[in-house]
Amino acid sequence: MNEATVHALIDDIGALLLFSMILILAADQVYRAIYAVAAQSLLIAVAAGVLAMATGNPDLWVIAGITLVVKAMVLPWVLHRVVQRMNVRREVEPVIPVITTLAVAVGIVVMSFHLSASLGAVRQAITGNALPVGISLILLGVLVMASRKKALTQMVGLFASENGIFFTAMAVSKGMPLIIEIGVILDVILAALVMAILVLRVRSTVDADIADLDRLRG
Amino acid sequence: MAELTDNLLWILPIVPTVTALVMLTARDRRVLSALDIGGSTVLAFLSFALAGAVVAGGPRALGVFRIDDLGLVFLLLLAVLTFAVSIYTLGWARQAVAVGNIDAGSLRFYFALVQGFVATMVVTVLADNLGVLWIAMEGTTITSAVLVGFHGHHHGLEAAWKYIIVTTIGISFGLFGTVLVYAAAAGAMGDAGTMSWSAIMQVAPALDPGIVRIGFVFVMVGYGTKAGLAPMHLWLPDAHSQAPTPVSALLSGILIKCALLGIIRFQTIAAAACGPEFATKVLLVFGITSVVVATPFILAQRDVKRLLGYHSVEHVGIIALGLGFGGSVGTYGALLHVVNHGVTKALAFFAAGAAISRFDTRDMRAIRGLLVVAPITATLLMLAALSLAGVPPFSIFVSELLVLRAGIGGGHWWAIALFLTMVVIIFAGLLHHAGAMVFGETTEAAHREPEAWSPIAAMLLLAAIMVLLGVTIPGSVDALLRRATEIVVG
Repeated sequence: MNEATVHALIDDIGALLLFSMILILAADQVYRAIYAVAAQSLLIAVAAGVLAMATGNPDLWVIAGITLVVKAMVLPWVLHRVVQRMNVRREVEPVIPVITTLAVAVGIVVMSFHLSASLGAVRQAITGNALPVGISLILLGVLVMASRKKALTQMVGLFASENGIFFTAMAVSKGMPLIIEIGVILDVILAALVMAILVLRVRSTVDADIADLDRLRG
Repeated sequence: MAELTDNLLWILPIVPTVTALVMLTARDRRVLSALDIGGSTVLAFLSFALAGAVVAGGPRALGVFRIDDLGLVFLLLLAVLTFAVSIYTLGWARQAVAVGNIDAGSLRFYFALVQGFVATMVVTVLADNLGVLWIAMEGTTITSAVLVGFHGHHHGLEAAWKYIIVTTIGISFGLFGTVLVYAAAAGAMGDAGTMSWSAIMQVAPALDPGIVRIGFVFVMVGYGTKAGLAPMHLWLPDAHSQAPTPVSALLSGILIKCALLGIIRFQTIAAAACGPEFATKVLLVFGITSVVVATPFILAQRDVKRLLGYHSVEHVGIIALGLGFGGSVGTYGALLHVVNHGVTKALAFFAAGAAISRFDTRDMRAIRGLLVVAPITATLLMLAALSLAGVPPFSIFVSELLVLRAGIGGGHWWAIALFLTMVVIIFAGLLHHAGAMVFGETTEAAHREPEAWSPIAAMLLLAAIMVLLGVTIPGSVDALLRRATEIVVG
């Protein structure tokens, strides 16, 4: 694969990632957001595969495999189980209207591209448009967390943010060292498990969504 | 001999990890406390051994770990505070089990998690690889989030949720910043990028300033969340107030300082790559915001542990100001403040925890006349409050003065004016709160049993360090801080 093809492929995947982010932002049901973030993780795995072929770095194949199994399959499955166990109303309750959220999202994407266009030579260290797409995903993930009241949607936003970091990280020259990537993924799994436990514990003791609790103030 | 001390770099994190694993097999409270104190003693002993080696022979490196004088300041603080917390926990756990705050059966999980939490913090201090630093930092969130919600009532769980969700998203900004700095290093070094801080520092002047600037802002937001800098501090008062008291002391005394160490590491890279002005500006903005935001909450606070939590936000802000004012004086002041605040705040949490258990409430309006009920605790609480407020001759006065002098030297008049105003207001607010708790008529509801020796011993140890550092800074400490300052200032 020559360099131009790799750039083009990474840019295509970046566009699809942004599209999946819009699906998450616009999702009116928790399930849809979970499926969208699973699809997004699948795209990250594909991107890792593309970069593995392009750079010949075997570590990226390992990362592609781990991402596929952990982030595209296991974590969405955990979220899915938690939704079932909670047995709550499945609608997402936006704090601000979805249409406003999408407008803000467009602004964030434009700003990210503008910001990275201002960088000069160093952009060569990062393949294609992986940097602005990564910044967009991180900030949009935060937007999801800020604009939704349900714990599960907040976790989806968190995973989407982390997808953005992974996308940029693997596009940097030859990717981050394998051991670091594995450590990061391990942390993500553990954090997700602790969050799931917290959500279920609150559900079983006070019958409320943990993100709705607001007794601690001032 | 050199190899032996190098090995300490991987032995240090192993000590608390092994202690935690052994604890899982124990059930008796006394055995658990003995293991806790034993593990902390070994950790402290080995840390001081490593300190001796570094002082004698310069920085030590082993794989992804490295210790220099800068890391040493934080490592020794960690070792001393962990030891004090273990001593305090002996008496605290007895009392907590007796009144049913903690189920005797789950006590071993509590002890093991605390040691696991300490292990992750040791790794953050020793990490040279910025990726390892990040992984360990997220590890501290996971272990301590469970501890924050350990009591299991819904306030604790709410605080734990807020803590894990805010700091995890925050720290992911830190990872992104790390990736950007890594990209800059890969750009400067050709193909073979590195994540090692010491290696990046060697090429730092050649890094692309544009991307390092963006990376530093992401890192500031990320590690700043964990450090409790406003406006990312939202988790801090909740977590500090809901966590069991020994955990509050660890969070406030060490954890937020470990995050500051992460910020300092990136600050040195940013200063070398794009000049010191940029990092200074960012640090000053966050520092001033923290000091200003914390003030009204300190004045209006009713919950004593929340009060101390907001107070940590203020002091982290002061440390950020010291780093931002920069120069030898500002950085020295900031590092000294890290030590002073860690020791004093742990002491304050210990005393507040003892007061809370006597009055069965965290509401300061109900805590009255502690001096009558528990004279030693009350005296120490008052001393800690005086020190936190910045009264001479206590240690915090000295470091605040240094930070102030650096600010005046740098001509940052706006920052100085705001800083001074807020410190004076907080001074009045804090002494008002503390005075009302310590003096006055006590209530009927207060428990009047004699004071347990182990919490007193832990508090006396910290109070001794606090007074000593205020009266005179010992030569060895001074030399260590000076060398650490040189690493930051360059």
